[in-house]
Amino acid sequence: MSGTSVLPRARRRPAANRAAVHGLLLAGPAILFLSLLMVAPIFVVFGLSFTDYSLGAIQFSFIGLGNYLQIASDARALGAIGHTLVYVAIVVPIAVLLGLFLALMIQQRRRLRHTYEVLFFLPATSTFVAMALVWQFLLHGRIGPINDWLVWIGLGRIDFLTNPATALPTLAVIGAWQLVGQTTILFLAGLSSVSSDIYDAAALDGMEAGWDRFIRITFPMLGPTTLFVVVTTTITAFQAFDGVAALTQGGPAGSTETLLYKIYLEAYQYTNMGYASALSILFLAFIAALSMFQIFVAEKKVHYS
Amino acid sequence: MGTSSRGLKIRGLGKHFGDTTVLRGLDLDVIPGEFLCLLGPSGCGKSTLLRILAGFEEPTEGTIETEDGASLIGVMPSRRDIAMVFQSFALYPHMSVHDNIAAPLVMRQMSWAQRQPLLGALLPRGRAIRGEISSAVERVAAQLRISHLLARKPGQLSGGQKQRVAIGRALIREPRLFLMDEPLSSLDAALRTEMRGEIVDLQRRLGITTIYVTHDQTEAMTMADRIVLMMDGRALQIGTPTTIFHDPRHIAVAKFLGTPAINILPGDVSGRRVRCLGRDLPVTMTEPTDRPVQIAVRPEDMTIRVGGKGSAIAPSWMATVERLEPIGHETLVHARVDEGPRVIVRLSGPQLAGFAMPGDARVAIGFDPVALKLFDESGARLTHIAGDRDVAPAPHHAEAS
Repeated sequence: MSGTSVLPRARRRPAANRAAVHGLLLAGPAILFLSLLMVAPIFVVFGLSFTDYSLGAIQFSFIGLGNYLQIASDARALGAIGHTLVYVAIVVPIAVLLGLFLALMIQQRRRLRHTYEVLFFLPATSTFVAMALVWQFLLHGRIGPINDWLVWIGLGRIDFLTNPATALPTLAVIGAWQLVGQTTILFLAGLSSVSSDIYDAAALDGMEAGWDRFIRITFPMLGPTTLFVVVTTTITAFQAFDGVAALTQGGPAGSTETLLYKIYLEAYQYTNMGYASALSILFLAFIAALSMFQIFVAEKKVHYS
Repeated sequence: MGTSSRGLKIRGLGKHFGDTTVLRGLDLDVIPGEFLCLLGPSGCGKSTLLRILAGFEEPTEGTIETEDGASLIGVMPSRRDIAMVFQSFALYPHMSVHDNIAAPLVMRQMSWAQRQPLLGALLPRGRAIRGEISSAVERVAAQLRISHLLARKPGQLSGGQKQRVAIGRALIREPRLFLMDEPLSSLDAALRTEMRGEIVDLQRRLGITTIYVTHDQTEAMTMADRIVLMMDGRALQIGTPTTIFHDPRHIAVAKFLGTPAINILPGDVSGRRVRCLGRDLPVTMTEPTDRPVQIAVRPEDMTIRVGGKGSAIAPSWMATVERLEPIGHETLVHARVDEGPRVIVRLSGPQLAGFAMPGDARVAIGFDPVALKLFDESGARLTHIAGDRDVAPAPHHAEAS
């Protein structure tokens, strides 16, 4: 910062300048669009979160932290945060553990491996709203085959999506189903990066297969993959919206209102842009915290090189 | 230690992967306590043989028995009393050096419950056994001079240090058979020479039977008590480094050993006489026969004469020098024999001192008849009596005493 840094800079000015101009020219379009489409809207939303702006309104005024204070006293907003956390708490363990389990099972298959990969990855490639309609039919309280089956084995009917007690867990299980294919593929990629020499050495050392090999070799070696899968799955689960919008619209009795769905309602149904912006900033803070955790804390503990 | 070392009796060992045959009817006796090198080009089946001995692969046919007659077929790798050092070292990257070396003992000496991460510490004896294992780890580490590295992760070690940790993990099991799969090939040249010596010293000191796979003839020649020269899934020749080098039973063995490769000259046998490129050789066949032969002479056994200087034992052939490769203490002369093949002559010491390249690069090439080896067209060795100068020059009475 002091005078020492001036000299070398002065000496290599012409070449360095040309490189800087070239660099700026090449990175320019990306910087421009990234700023316009990603960074600027965030700042706009951040600014709006301190106003009472209503969609379509001609004028609005600054109300300071009013929107944020309103969140603290809005039972439905707090409920939406709670629902989102419950949703995440169901989706992440199922998607991660089932994905890991399926990956371990599929990896040992030789001929059918690709068939299984495609089969389990299918939900991730399909249009979710279309799939949601299928789920709606399957889970329907009266005409759904799943309820027919429950009756047949002697259990009663369950109104999966219309009972406030079961609607959120049901949405979460569907959400997990959609994510399992992706986590399976990621774990399969992680597994294939473990060298076969390590498994041979483990076999010699007495870890031939089963629990010992998994807990001592496979799972620790999957550390970086597991971290990545957990964080990305959590972020995806946090964004729960399409299932809610397609199947329950937040109901019954607001029991499936998630944070993102609440933001959507506030912004586009009730046109409370200012309040929706404050909720969005809260949402952004959650996601940012998760990303920070991945980058700064966990990465150091699971990489071995 | 020598008495507990393992011997092996391998008979008719074959391994096929689908249509590809990797091992074909291999017979081999491993003597307890010896340092045996499996040497051969890549794809010759040496690594597969090692993997079968370790128990990672099962042979398609054949038997493997220990010195007391117990079969090893179908025995789990961890029950074979063997240790192995891998080319990639195969250290567990998430464990410290200490835990890497301790891993085999943890698995063998602790019960299932005792070795579980949290539960184990609560159980009686768990801590005591861990203490015993730690002192064993420290003993092995001291032996390999890696005591100061025990807390590190493999990612923080140099290639040579990783190598020592891998050897430590193998030694701590007190194995009866040591398997090494090209353990030096991922090290740089200087370290390779150093580790070569250390591994041999260690093996001599502990007396553990060692089977060492390599494609590097220098490693095999300098380290092994005996070499198994493998090619195309077969053991072409088994013997001491000296025997394999000086008395190859097959032309492929002669060609594989020695750098630069042995020279091959075309020849003909009629009766007991041998002719090479129009000259009679001063050698006599032990069995009379009539067939073309391949005459193999190592570059160091060739001689060269320039304008009367240098020495060339008769007979000799005129040749044109194409290229010189001076390597300091020796010079390789690449020459083409008139109407004959290209040969390489290695000149060193006094020969080198007296050698000067003439302008026209014409030389007379000869070789020491004692050193030549004869092989038939299929590559099998033919025996002859060398150096009988009284018989060879007279062409029509080749009957020697």
